[in-house]
Amino acid sequence: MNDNQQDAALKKANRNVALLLAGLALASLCLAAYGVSKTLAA
Amino acid sequence: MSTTATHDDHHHAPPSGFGRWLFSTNHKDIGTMYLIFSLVMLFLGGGMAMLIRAELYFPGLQFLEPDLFNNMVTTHALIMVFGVVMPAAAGMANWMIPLQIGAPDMALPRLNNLSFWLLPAAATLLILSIIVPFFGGGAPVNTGWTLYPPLSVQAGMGMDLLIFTLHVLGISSILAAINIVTTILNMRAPGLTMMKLPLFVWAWLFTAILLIMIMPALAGGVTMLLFDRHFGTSFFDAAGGGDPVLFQHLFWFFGHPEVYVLLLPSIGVLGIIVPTFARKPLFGYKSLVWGMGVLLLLGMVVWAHHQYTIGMSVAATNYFMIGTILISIPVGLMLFNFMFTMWRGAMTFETPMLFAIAIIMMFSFAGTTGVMLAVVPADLQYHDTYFVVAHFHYALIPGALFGLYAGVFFWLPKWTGHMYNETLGKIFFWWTTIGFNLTFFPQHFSGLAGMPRRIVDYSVQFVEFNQISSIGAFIFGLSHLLFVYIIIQTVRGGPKAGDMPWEGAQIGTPGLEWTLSSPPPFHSFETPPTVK
Ligand code: HEM
Ligand SMILES: [Cu+2]
Repeated sequence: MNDNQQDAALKKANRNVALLLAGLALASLCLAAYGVSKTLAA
Repeated sequence: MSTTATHDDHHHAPPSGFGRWLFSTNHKDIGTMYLIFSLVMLFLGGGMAMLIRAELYFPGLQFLEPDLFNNMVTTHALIMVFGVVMPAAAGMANWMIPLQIGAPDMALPRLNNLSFWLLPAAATLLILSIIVPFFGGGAPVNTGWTLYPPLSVQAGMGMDLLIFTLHVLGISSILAAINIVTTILNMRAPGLTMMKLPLFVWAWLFTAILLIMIMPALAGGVTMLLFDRHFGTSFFDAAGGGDPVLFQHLFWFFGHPEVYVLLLPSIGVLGIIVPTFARKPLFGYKSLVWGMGVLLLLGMVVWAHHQYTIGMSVAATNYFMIGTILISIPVGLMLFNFMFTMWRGAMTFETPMLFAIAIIMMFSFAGTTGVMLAVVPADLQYHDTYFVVAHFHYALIPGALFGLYAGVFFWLPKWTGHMYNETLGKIFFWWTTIGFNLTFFPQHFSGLAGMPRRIVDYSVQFVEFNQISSIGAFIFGLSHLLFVYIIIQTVRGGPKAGDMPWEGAQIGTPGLEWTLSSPPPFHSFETPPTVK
């Protein structure tokens, strides 16, 4: 099946969850960066 | 979710030619590609293991330069983790999650295509990293898969290629994980609530969330390595105000949860196979789901048990020790749930079930050595010896690889429409299990006696253990030719498999795959089924 066979509401819901999860990945990267800065400042 | 299937661009046959694969957005085709990729990489990584074991058959140097030996150790591990277990589990997820939850495909089919096709690119970079030292690219990467600085900062060009390999792999895994979580949350058939999901789907939900949280730390860590190597930073260089131990924290913040990424999909497979062949619903389904959740959370906060020897504060060391020992509770819970499922069941012992039972036994062994390693004063002795090598091979080969093999035997009839040859399946099971134990059991003893890991030479007192290991490894390696033969034989023909080839498959919380034909049509569940 192709992406564009999903109806508009499902497509939007999928996009939102995907973006939320991408945000989780970014948050994790920030956490790592925070840990790095803490360690190196000490 | 759409409940009608009135698409005019509806086509039933797969497109023909190479484009079918290159541009595929079909979860079954992409799943197949993942599985084939993984099988090819298994032979590459396995070939390296054979070289390692051949070199270690005798003490002293045989035919591998020490640096090249350590490069084999490094790339063997990276290939097995990122090239074999993760793609195979992702291939199974692609095939089975939509079929089990009654979805027409993955939530983000084009992203799915990208996730897969990044893998051959990563594999190419990885292979180049092995080759460049032979063409003036500096010393081979000899760090082990953990890539610790300062060694990794000093390594040749192969290290840069490995860093890029990990970047590409990281993007691929994060995209695949996002896709899987979105699919599970949004694409379930009407009526299929979360607590009715087959355990495999739950296991992959946790795995994917874990992946999204840990891959960025690895990507960040290796990027900082790249900067230390080429752009004058000194994140990991004490002379410049940095800290080499910082890399270890970043690596293991990724690395420890990663072992659950490798483990959980197989636990999910067991959660389906054990009830099927015991003909009893899974014992403690809810506790298993919660147990996996606890495992995920605890798994995120115990990483420094890989670094007891670096000299952490007593408080930190105690914390990591207690946290690690606590992990054996959810791990034990899973094993007991499986055993109670079998208790007084009407069991039969087809190949998938043989694997499942053997996994439970051998994996318990890894749990035991794991708790030994978690205890700090003991680990100060065991660390960086073959005891650790034995521990994690007992965890990963039964806990990850054999679980996937069991899944292949279990679902091959569904995928191909043919039954595999049960006699050959059983021969493969015994052959590979005996080979595996012969290889890794003796390593507990050589490890306890002090044989260090990742060294091309060893003291003569370890000769017998190593020779048993090497012979076992060749037996183990060879068994995989039979595995491939069985798969090819089943793909090409064999007795027809019914829609539900396993008698017990409908027991408990089954997936919806059994409501489809074997093999399922190219496009399945275009009209969502309703679950009561
Ligand atoms: C009861 C559960 C477990 C405990 C308490 C445990 C504990 C440990 C400890 C303390 C180490 C570090 C040893 C050292 O380097 O000195 C270790 C290494 C390792 N464990 Fe486990 N473990 C457990 C389960 C697992 C599982 C389920 C897997 C994978 C499926 C696994 C895979 C590994 C790997 C790959 C390493 C070695 C990494 C390396 O140094 O290259 N372990 N384990
Ligand atoms: Cu660990």
